[in-house]
Amino acid sequence: MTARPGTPELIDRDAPIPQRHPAIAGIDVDGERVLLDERNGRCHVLNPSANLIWSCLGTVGTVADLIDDLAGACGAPVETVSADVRRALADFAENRLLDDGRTRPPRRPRSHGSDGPRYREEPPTACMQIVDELGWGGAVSIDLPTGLRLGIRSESSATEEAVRAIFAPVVVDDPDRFEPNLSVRLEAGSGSGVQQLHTVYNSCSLAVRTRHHGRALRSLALQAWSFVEAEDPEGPVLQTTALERDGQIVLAPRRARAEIAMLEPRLRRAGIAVVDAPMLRLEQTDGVRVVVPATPFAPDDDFDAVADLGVERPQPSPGRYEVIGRLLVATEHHSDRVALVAGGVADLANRHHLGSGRALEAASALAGVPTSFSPTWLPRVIVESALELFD
Amino acid sequence: MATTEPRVALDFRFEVEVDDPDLKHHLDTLFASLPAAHPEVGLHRYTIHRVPAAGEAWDVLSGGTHIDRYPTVAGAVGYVLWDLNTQAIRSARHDVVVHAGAVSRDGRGLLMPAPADSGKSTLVTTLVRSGWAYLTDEAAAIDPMTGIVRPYPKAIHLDHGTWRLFPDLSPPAEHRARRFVRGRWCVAPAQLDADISAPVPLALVVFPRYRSGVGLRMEQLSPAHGFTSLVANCFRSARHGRTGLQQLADRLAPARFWTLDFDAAESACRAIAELFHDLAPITRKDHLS
Repeated sequence: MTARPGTPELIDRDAPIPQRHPAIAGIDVDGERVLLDERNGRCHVLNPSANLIWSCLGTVGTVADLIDDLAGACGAPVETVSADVRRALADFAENRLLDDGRTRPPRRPRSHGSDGPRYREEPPTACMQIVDELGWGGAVSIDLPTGLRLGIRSESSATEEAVRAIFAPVVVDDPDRFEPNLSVRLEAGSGSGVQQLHTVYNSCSLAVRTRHHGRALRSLALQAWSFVEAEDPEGPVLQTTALERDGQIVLAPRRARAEIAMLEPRLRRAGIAVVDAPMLRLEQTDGVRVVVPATPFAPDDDFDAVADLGVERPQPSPGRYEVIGRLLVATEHHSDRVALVAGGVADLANRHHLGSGRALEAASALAGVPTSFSPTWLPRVIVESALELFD
Repeated sequence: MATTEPRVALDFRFEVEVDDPDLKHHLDTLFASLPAAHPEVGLHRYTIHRVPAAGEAWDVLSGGTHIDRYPTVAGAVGYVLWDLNTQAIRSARHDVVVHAGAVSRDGRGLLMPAPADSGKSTLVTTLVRSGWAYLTDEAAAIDPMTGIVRPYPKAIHLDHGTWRLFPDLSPPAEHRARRFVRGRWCVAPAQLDADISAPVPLALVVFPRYRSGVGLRMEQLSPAHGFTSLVANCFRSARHGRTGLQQLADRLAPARFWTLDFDAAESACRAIAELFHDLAPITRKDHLS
């Protein structure tokens, strides 16, 4: 989508920054942002400046704040940015991409008053259907401190018991609802000598595939905790796939986790661990750092002993880590700063709880990190690009 | 009554019951390139039969339900072929199905998405005759998890405007199948000596548009614009949602996108072949690793 000629004056500077329509989804195509309107399946292509403005929609503040913050982040005159923002917002509105306040109510509203639990809906996508068809048994609901209620399903009663044990303090009886957000399979030994892979899914995305029971359960705990991190109103929280070696971190796209998981043994041989935490708090003091979180959910399984044997990389302990590089899956002609900043804002899980200024500040810091580009989603190419950043 | 060989069109399993041996032979010829279906597993049955004591009239039943009565057998056959195609497209539940012609060479696919009357079948026919393997002239089913397009080798439909390009494909005037066809030729892939392609990853996506007097114009699209144009040609794209279409976008990352305005199929196909030749090779191992 490109801005139409003329500068509409219909956008009120003092109005809150508009929200995206919930039916509009972003799709990354070679580093460019395509908006999918799920109501009708139509796609819209955004030019770089429209993409940056789109990435900031839904942040806290007014249109005037957004204009000032964008001007600061891009080093452009306020008048120019103001015209771009007004054009883009008018274009978004004309294409029905903004939430006009008349969108359908959530299918499952708060059920116990304003302070009652909220639920995260999983859309019935084709990929979710494939995970659904893997065959599942028991189910557990947990109530997170933020009031968000999650469903965790497992393939057997034995696994369900393990899940209940980890989340014991927050397990709730929720018989009127089960919508799985997380899914875990702990494979029993086949008896053939072949070690099975345990898997954890967040929605239909593969979170971890491992031979080690304890790591699967720890990953499950981190996945659940990431929903709490995503609602943090304080600092920017990045949804990402992180690789760690010797206390240094390389960030990769969140969506690359499955590709990276395929070649994890190769990374392990290079001394690199794939960080199981899917969300990391971002700090910009003293360079760019991320914080590996601790969770209150602890599986009673000695994974560290396995890691110490050298058959698995130890997971980095909770704490701060220096970010030495960032891997993007795109061709290098998308390496301009505006695209990098827009991508950074889009990667912030708690964007809706931050002001546009803080979101843009964090994304600008990320844009300054040395970046490597993988032109394809082929696991081999992604992993090689990541290794270059460490070397 | 006789029944055609059970076949599978994408994931739609079917057979056609007819009371005319010539019609059975005609349909078996058209369907011969589709994979055989197990005769005892959930077949959908169409029926075409002449109505006794009604002069020249033909009834069509689909799954036992009477659909309509046609004054010509060609009309009845036309309905069955149309409905069969519709059901085939609906049956590919896990695939993104694109309104497109598709062929392959050296294990790599060429997709040509376009609305009707853009020249898809003409280009497919020309390419297949020059040695490309045939995938489909109408509906390309792409697995969004892998980016692999699988064959739907239906009979190629050639409209009146293209007949002059392929005079040798005309059914002979005295041919007994002539009465089953009206308004368009249905060319069985075997009639072109076509190789049926194996499932292949897509390497090149060309959006063709036939325009009289335009000559040949080509323009490369960015992946985002190419993907958007591809989705615009999908059947029921909304069904796949953000996850399915994001997966498809990821898997199509190695592909290149071009528009092609043309007024002569031969020169258009030469240009496509050159584009294809210049692409970096994508091995199947690379695609799936």
